[in-house]
Amino acid sequence: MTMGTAQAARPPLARETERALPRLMLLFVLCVAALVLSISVGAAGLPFSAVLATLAGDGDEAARSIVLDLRLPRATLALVAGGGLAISGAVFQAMLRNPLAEPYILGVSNGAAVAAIALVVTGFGSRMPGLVPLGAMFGAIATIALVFRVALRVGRALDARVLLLAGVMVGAFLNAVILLLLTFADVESFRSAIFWMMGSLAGANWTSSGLVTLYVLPTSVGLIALARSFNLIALGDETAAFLGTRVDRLKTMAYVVASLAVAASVAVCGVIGFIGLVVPHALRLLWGSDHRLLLPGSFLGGGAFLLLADTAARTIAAPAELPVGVITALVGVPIFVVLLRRTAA
Amino acid sequence: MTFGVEHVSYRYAGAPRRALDDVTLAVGDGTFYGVIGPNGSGKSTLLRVLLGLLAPEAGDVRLDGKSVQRWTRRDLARRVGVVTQDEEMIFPVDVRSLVSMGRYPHLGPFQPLRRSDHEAIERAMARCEVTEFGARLVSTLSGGERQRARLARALAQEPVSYALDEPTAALDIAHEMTMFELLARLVREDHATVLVVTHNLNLAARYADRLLLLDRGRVSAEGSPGEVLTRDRIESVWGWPVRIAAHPGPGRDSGAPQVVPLAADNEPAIDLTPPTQEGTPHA
Amino acid sequence: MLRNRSARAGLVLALGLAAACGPPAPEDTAPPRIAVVDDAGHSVQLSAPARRIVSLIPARTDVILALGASDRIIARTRWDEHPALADLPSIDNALTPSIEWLVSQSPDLIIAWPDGQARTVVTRLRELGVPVYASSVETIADVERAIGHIGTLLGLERQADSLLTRISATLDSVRAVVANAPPVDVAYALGIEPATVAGPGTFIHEMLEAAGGRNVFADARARWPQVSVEALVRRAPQVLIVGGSGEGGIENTRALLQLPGWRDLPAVRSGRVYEVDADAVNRPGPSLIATVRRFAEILQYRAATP
Repeated sequence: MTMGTAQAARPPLARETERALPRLMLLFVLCVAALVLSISVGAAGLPFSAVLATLAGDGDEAARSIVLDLRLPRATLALVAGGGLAISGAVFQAMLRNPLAEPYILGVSNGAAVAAIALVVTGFGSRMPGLVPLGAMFGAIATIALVFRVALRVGRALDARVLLLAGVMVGAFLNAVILLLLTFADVESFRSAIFWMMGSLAGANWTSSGLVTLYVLPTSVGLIALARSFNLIALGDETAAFLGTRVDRLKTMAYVVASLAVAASVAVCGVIGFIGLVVPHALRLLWGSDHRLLLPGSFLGGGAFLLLADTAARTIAAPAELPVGVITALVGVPIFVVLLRRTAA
Repeated sequence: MTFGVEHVSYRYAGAPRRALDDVTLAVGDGTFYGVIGPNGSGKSTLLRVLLGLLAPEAGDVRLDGKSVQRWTRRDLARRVGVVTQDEEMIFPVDVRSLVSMGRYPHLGPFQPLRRSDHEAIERAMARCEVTEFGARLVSTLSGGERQRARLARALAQEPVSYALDEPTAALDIAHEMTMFELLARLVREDHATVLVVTHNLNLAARYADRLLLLDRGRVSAEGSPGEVLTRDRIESVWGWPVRIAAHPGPGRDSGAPQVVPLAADNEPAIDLTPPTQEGTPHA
Repeated sequence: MLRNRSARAGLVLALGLAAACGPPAPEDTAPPRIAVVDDAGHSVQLSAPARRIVSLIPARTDVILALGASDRIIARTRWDEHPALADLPSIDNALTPSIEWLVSQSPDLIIAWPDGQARTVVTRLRELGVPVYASSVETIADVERAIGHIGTLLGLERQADSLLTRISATLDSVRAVVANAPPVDVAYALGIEPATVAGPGTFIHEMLEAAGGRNVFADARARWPQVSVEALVRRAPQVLIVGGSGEGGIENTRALLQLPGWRDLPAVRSGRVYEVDADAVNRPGPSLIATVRRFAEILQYRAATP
């Protein structure tokens, strides 16, 4: 009882924010550091002074081209795509009540891949440069709608298990379609299809990064606004309803909004795995499942993670680039295992 | 009147018979009201219809005089605190966070907890005697402690009434008694309305002001515990031989009807075949 | 309802995304002295012959080497093993080169595939003002056209013309020789387990047909279909050419050919199974001269004409 009275004595507001704010600040600083690193380092081997000069407005033509036209849009894309994937992963974990859920679990990435690969293999993709991302977006959205359709026909109102099953089934079907398409591909299309599926940020320019930002930022803000509802839905549909949540509306909004963020990332960057599963899960292990901290934290953490992974991917084997999805997995897994053991102990 | 249903019927999709059949119920303000009946009699269904989770195929459901469909879930959460038998906890959560979720219906999306919210949480935890568990994970608590924490969450909502669905089904006698005592205090001190669905007939008899007895979806009896819990009625609804004994006391409980089930071989003349499909006549 | 609204909004924004990924054509201020139209339909314009070249396509690197311009190449891919290029930095698989590095090397011409992953590279480089020549690598006609264009872009038209003459002379002489003999049923397989064979529309197919062969899989519906040994038995090619890569290939191939089904093929029974280096053969460039001669040799059991 004494502990209770001592706790009650401290100002209550400070107690709640005093844990969350410093943690978010830490992630924010990490993000900024990753951003700075990302634009300072690259295969062109520019000295840091040249980078600073370019940012200040001076600097020669070549450096400007590299820093402002290549590195900066690519860093922006990494930040936003990584953040979008991580925050969507956290939301899917809450909605499906499964800490192993990740953004592609409802087949969104397979749908995007089918469309993109079909365009590449048939040769239509090269007619118009913007066609493949557009097609990928289309494929992603169509897949979401299809999964919903299947789930609603089987069970009521977007039940988590039914949705999961529908997503896995549709995803597997689309996977088979992808393999079928690949058998008709010539060698170059085949290789490029595989590379598209492995994910890459090499195509980043200001307009594509800008558009992904346009998708991901508002959707992320919207999801953060629903943080309390996610805390409640994790206790079950009924409990959430009894505590004031309109469950059907929440489910529809959450799935659609999160899926749009994922679709935008996949359409431009291909399928970059692991971020949407590991970043939110790691944060859960470290700091708990309060979504008011978890969601913004996931965004910042995912952004920083992809920034660092992409920086590594394009510098380690310079002048070649490694697929960024390989880095995220190779680096992410050991970190995750360490985290798992630490919290189990 | 807090909770009111009139001639409500509900059938689950694909079920052979109605779960609720022409049920009428009126729970007055400040009452401790018990809903009792055998398994499958429709008690939990009635609670969900009362709280607007299920839409009845016929009849009228009102909360505080207004049709329950016209209540937003948020407003409803500010009026009624609900405690169910148990809930799933996929992600670990500490007791204090669990109780603070009771304040969510009072807050906007980005609004942090205010001083008044924290005070409500502290009060709720103190009344349910879970303050000492504040930092512990809910999954590490015993069943009884967990239910007290969930009752504290309901209290934190600062509602006017409470609805509980078999809150003590898995608890030992000490925890069961603690819960019912807490509920009685809420009625006494806060003038709250408490509606409890329970299969513990004896506690319902001791604490409730009025009882509703459901039998296969129909109202079998409604009234004070003494009126409802008669030997004939219980034997016909539950299909088991019983005796009614008076509670020995001391205090308020003295004289309350207590149901004592008999062993099967005590009264060989009792017909133990299950009751027929026709409903039993009301008292 | 909300879902449809969001979906529609998503589509509208997606259209914007598409528009964004299109490259703006860089303006050329000085009147270009050299201009060719590449295989993606773009006009590639240079003010002077290219001197700092990166070719992502090994077969096109071969063209530049054949034109005697190896000193103008500033980077190589993993498959460019010519000794003249040994000291150059490698961009490995050429599908995901570091754009940043390419730009920092100030190239004045990049040669890339017209579609696929190269598109990202191509698009970005064009946006940044680097001239990119997109080259198809499917057919002999593609090779001849590329030689002509690359010759123009490098200011080496004379060398290009003589290379083209050599190529057409070889093809003509081979065709003349094999015109006298009946076409030989042949299949080209990339590896045995599983067997992926050259179908119609591939460069290998064209080579085989030019060398007097009849590709038994000319009616396949895919370019590189995976076939079972039964399909091979049914079509019974008289000659089986296996494209392997690396050492130990020959032993593995021989061992696998003893398996049931394989050992009953007429080609195997008569010993007309030949192993070739897949990377060297499937390289639509100047090396086709050697390839078509080798194929003619294999198919006709005779030394090809010089």
